[in-house]
Amino acid sequence: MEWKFEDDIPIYQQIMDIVKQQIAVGGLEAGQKLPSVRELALEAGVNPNTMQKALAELEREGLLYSQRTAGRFVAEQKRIKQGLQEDLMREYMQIFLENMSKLGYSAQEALQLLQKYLEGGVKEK
Amino acid sequence: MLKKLLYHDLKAEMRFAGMFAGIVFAICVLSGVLKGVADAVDTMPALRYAAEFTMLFGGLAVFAMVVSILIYLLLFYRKNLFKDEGYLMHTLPVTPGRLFWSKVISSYICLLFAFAVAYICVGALCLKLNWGVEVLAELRRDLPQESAGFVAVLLIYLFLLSFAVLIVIFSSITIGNTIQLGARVSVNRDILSVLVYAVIYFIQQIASSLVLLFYFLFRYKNLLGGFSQFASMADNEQVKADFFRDISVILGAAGSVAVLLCVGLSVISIHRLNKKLNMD
Amino acid sequence: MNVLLQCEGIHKSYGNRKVLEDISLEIPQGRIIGLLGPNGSGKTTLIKLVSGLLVPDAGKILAAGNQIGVESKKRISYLPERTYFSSSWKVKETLCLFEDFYEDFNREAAERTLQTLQIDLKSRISTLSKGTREKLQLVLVMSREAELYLLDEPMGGVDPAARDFILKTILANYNEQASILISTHLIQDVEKILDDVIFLKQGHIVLQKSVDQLRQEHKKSVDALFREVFAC
Repeated sequence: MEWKFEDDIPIYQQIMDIVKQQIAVGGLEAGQKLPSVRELALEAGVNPNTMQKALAELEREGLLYSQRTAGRFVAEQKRIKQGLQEDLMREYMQIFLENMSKLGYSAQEALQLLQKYLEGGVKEK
Repeated sequence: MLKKLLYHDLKAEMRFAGMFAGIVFAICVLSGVLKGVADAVDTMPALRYAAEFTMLFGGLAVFAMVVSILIYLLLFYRKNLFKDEGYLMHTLPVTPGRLFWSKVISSYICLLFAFAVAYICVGALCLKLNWGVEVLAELRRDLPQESAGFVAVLLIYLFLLSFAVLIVIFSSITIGNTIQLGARVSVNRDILSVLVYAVIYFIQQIASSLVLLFYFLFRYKNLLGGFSQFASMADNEQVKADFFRDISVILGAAGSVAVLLCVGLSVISIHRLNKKLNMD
Repeated sequence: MNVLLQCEGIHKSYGNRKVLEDISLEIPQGRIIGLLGPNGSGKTTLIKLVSGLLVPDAGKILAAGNQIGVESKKRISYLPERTYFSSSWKVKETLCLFEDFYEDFNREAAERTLQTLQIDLKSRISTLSKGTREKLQLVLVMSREAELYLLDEPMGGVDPAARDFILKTILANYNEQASILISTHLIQDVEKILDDVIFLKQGHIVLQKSVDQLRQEHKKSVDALFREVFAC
């Protein structure tokens, strides 16, 4: 997993996003056992408490489950995978629209520009 | 914990002491061999000159060794407790008292080692290992029967004196390095330590002089008259024993003052290490 | 949950210059805490007070449930910003020293790590580069199973690869019973491994919060926030 972190959001949230992404694209499969909190924290270069918080949250959301002695596993869920994908899609589109509005384009204009881009590239001025 | 400290301190100090002592010992043995050969082969003046020269050199080397080891020991104390190494020493789980005494005891052992090596080296230089016994016997010849104890007192005094010297020097270094200074004042801690030593020396001299004064007052009930009477005793064969007994008592009293001083200084030093440590 | 460090009303001056003023803080178990501030803000002084190298002018310090003394030193592992070994020593002797005086020292683990770093046990301290010496000290300090680790500028004067190694070592030796207090001004590197931060400005604590809280509230990294708070 690629552990890259931004500055302005709490790290545990970013960890959750990364894990969700991995589940959505199939990098983490259902039933797969996750490494221990310490190993993951070491791998990601983050505080173990932070990693623990993220994983606990993911467990709460139903994406992971833990067995007392065996460890943490990725939950079995096609629906959730789909739901995750939808969540991420919505998130990405939201970001796109927000950025475009920063440039001064309304949602409609953004849609038109997007079509143009897909058809042949936005011309440089 | 003290034993472990002692082990580590002794190991570090003997590194230098042992090396220096070994070199000087080798020089003296060589000199002794040369002397022996020169004595046996009487006809070569060059050999005799070489032997005399190395003997002189060896004598100086022995002196240099003892002095250097003493200097090394006090520098080691200062470096180990008040320079960068102090960051390690003062964060070890040992009491300041143990830190102090470990240094004093290990340094004393090193000093005794230096003395022992010096004795053997002089013996090697004159090819006579029992030279010390001969010197003592000569001293005894000048003394009346009853004051044989004087020699013993003298020897004990010398051994205790070296212990006391260590405590005084280490305490000076400790106090010099733990005196609180203002933020804008930056004084060399070494100079401060020397000043502290001077003060302690001054106090000790005054105390010893007072002891002498009281003794004469007590013994002869009259200060000036007592002193001249005391001085004349040295030449009078009959009361020579009294004279030496007097000196023994004076030495004993001065020694007691020194002991008190050392006890006081040790307590002060350990207290400074405990409560007034200010590692830069 | 245990409180591993408790400072109440700590004051410390060097002569007329006030270095720490009314410092009160509590460090619970299982946290990695950054003590952040510019040079001269009192970080090193605070750490030296806890480790026993300095005595406070006023105030109370309780470390691992003990006053500063032999008992607290048994449980605190301190890494200074300077080399504190005699340069004539061999690496092996430093291991012997730690083993002799610290019951919680794990010699095998330390030797293994040193081997990974290709530090020869028989080499003398004087022959090691500055970076290697810092790594050696860090390995020794972190190979103790202490309750409180005090790391004073563990990454100062060290190249980025070595900094990574240092951070990894700190993380690898983390355990929930202990806490680590790291004083540094290289915040960017260290931010990801911190639970909480304490900002120290001219001897005062101006901020004490968790990293998550800070990022959430200020929408920027601790490093960026630091630059704001301590802008010259």
